[in-house]
Amino acid sequence: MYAKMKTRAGAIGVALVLALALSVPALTVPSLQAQQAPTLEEAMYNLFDGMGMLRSLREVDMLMSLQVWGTGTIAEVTATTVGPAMPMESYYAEYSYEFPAMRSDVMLASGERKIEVVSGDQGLHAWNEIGERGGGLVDGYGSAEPAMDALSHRLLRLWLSPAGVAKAAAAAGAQVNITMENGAVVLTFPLTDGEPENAAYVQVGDLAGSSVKLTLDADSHPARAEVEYGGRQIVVAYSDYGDLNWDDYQADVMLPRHVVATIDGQTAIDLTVENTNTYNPYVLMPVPDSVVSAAQ
Amino acid sequence: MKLRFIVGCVCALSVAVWLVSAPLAAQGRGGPIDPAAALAETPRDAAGHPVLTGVWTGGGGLGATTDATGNAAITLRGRKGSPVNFERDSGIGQRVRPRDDRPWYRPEAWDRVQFNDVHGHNRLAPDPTFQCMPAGVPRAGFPREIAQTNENALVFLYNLHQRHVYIDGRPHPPVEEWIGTWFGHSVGHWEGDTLVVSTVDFNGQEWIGWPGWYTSPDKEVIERITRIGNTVRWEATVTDPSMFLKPYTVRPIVREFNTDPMFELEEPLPCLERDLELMYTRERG
Repeated sequence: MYAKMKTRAGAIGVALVLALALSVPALTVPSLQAQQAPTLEEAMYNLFDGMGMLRSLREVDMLMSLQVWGTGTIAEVTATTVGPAMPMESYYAEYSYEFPAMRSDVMLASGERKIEVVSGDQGLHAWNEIGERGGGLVDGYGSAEPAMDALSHRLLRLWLSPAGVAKAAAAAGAQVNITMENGAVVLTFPLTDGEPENAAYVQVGDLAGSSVKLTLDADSHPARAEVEYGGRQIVVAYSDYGDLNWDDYQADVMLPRHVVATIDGQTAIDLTVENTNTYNPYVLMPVPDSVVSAAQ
Repeated sequence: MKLRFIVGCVCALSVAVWLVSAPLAAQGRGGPIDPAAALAETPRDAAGHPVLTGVWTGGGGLGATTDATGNAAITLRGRKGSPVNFERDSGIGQRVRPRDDRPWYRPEAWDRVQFNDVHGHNRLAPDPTFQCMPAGVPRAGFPREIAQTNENALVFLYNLHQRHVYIDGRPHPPVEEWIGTWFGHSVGHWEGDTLVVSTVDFNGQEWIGWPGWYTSPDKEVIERITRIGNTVRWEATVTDPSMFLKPYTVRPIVREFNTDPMFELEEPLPCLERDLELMYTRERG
């Protein structure tokens, strides 16, 4: 059956999956017309390959960090409410998967700046950085305020990001169920921590067990993810895929230009991606000591 | 006697495993390391220290082979053998860095590291080695040859550069006398069978890694060089409190002593500044 994702040379590989997939004498693209669901191996290979995450002759997932720049609207989200959409002057986010972390740095049109971070470096922590990215890590350079109430929501943002949702599916291993709906491949899986040989870096905290329904488009890119968590229905729609790196910095990693996330039908973020850097850029999200102390 | 022999074997094998545990990718050019080389007797000088002089080879490399006409042939390990894919895959793959296998820069430096990484090939943030500047320490890695012409110093010979490591007990010059150089000022002392080299007095222009890893003149590099049999293991730790949140330990390198008395090192090719027109893409894999 489904082979687990493997870790090798620091990259989280899908070597065994690929070995199984490629062992089929003629790897057939699943016939959508025939409504025949691909095998788990085929679906996972197509998902990772379709996004350009499998690199080198070994075809292992090497996408371990990325940066995103964009614009759009964003809402204040609490455990129970979704505020009104606020236009963003700029949106910047950086993702790390090797140890799971995400930082978003939003400049609202109102002039307010919000830097929100989640990191699994020393256990799972969420905090806000005041003044500067990396605030609170060194004296005299911004500050950090814990935001553990937002932990699960931020983990959802991480693991429902386009690359993150693929990695979350990998972490679910054999628990991924493949079906066809209206001609589209659908992966249904529980959010779960990765295991030593199975996307080990995936940490989901209290999201564990929440079921993700991931619908792929015709190119095997994530098109729609649906999750129910905390009594709320979270839906993320991804569209208009392409290599969004600079023109002379193309990497063949496909990400959506448009991402819309709703919570119980209310828009949490409507993001138009202007640019990405998918060359595993340098991003660092260690947890400030003050945040660690506050969480203890 | 028998027990002693077995213990000796276990120790030697452990050393061999420790030596070859260095990532192959970090081992440079010249073919694989023979683990059995660690089992050879370690030559020692009159003071009982392991001898480090000689030519050191080994490591991975690009897998160059020689074809029937004598020309070197390199198989590009990119998808479909495409040079563009090779560069893109290399650019992504070589930036895969486990949590501690990279410097942890202070947040003030993050933007510049990211900028350097993207623009390291061009005039906006040129990687010094792309302009034929010395790699410095620790980026130059382990020298291909170590020579000793007097009892005061070892000479580390790299492809195009050299540095002196003073082993006569002298201290570093006082800070007010520092002049700032690419390779800094190095002094070494023995701790058991390990030569510990401290290097300071850098110019701060050298990068310690191609993904934009710049440093400051304040850094200190501690190298630990351990010869076991005919192998050597090199480790380096960079401390730069003005730049790093914590010391950065470089991936260790293992080299093998070249025992062939007839071996001749090839003359290194001259350094040419990188011609951007020859690069298919700008990601510098």
